[in-house]
Amino acid sequence: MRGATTRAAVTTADGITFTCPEGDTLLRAALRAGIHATYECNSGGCGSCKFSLDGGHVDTVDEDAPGLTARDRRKGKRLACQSLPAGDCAVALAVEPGAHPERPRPRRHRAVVAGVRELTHDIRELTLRTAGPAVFLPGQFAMLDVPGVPPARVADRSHRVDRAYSMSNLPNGEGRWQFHVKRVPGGSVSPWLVDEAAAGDPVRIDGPFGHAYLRPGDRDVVCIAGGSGLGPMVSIARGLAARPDAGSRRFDFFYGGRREHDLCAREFVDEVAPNLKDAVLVEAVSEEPGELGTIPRRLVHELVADTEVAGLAERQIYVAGPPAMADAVVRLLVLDRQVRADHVHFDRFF
Amino acid sequence: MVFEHVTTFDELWEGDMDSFQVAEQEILVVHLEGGEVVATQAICPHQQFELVEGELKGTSLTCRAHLWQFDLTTCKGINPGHAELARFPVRVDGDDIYVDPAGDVPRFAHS
Repeated sequence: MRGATTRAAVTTADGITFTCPEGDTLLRAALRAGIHATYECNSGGCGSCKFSLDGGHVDTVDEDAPGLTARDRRKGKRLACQSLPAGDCAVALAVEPGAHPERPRPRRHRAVVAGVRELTHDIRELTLRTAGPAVFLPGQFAMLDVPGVPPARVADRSHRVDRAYSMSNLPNGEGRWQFHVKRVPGGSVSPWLVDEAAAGDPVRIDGPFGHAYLRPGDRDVVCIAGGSGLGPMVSIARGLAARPDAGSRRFDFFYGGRREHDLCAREFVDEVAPNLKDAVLVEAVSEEPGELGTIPRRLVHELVADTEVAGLAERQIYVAGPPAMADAVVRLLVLDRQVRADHVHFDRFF
Repeated sequence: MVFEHVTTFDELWEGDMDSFQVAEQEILVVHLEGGEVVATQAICPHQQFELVEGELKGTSLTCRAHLWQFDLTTCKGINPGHAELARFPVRVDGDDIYVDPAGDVPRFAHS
């Protein structure tokens, strides 16, 4: 049996040392220490946080995480987001170049549910409150850990299960964190958030995380989302509208749902429109149009392909939503429309 | 310069690529259509993805994760243009392909 480790010292191949508190993954500990380890989903799916273990031992949360390919496994690669150091270890961890002072380090917060509002039949706006300020960048996400979800057993310890949700509001000093949560049937966290969460209930927040945040600069903005991708796009729209130069900025928002009763972006576009040079919402549904038939039946990437967007190639573009949708959109933009790959911002979830 | 034997033309046909561990370095070796052999870094300079899992079309290689594209004849980025790949010296001797793993260092790029 292993000793009761409470903190582990982790040393990277570049000679950086940081502390990993008990219960933290290697990735989260690195980010909390201000080290910009590469990652996207923080959930085992994307494969961006691959590393090699040079010494010591780590326990793995999900041995079958889809972020590792057969080739990666053959080479002994691991995912930093799924690795819990068991004692001191040495790792070859990829770190992004640059200092990125704009990115807040993720922190753990205790929160309570402050309010809930129905947006559609299966999307709810959830407001949480923390004692300290809500520090994040528009477009980032946090990991939510809710009551009643049993912890996972990892080696000889228990590990709390949490899920990634993007904030939909703006950072603020009052500790308000808002999310648009879509019910995932059979999911471990979202049914509670959508169907059960009530004012006063406790939730743990860990964050912020993610790289698909509103960039500085004077480029116009396009947001492209489907389904659960609404929240971060609303945050980005609000962030853009809050800028001093908002009056000279254009915002185009493409949003797709399955049916008309899934669409709820209008109120948010109307909210930001008065501050912007222009704000355009283009919507589509993927299934049979309703009786009104006013919304075209298109997939989101088809909708974008069909629509003339002024200066598309020069814009900052943000994408969020189901993996197949996001993939089709990014392929259209980067491969067909030659948009600069580093101007298309998205965190790949699976 | 120390060239290490990596593979042969029997293994790496025209239009093929494969990745190899050469000394301490992970190296992607590509046999371009037309016959040129290029040795570059195995991992995309953007994030931790194997370029061998990307798509090779003519001389352009597209990473599967974020669709960064590179021109293998120059090892420069097509999209985004600021990206670049390492280029390790290659020596061909008959059927054998040798690479000098100390001849360059893998690049990293920000997005």
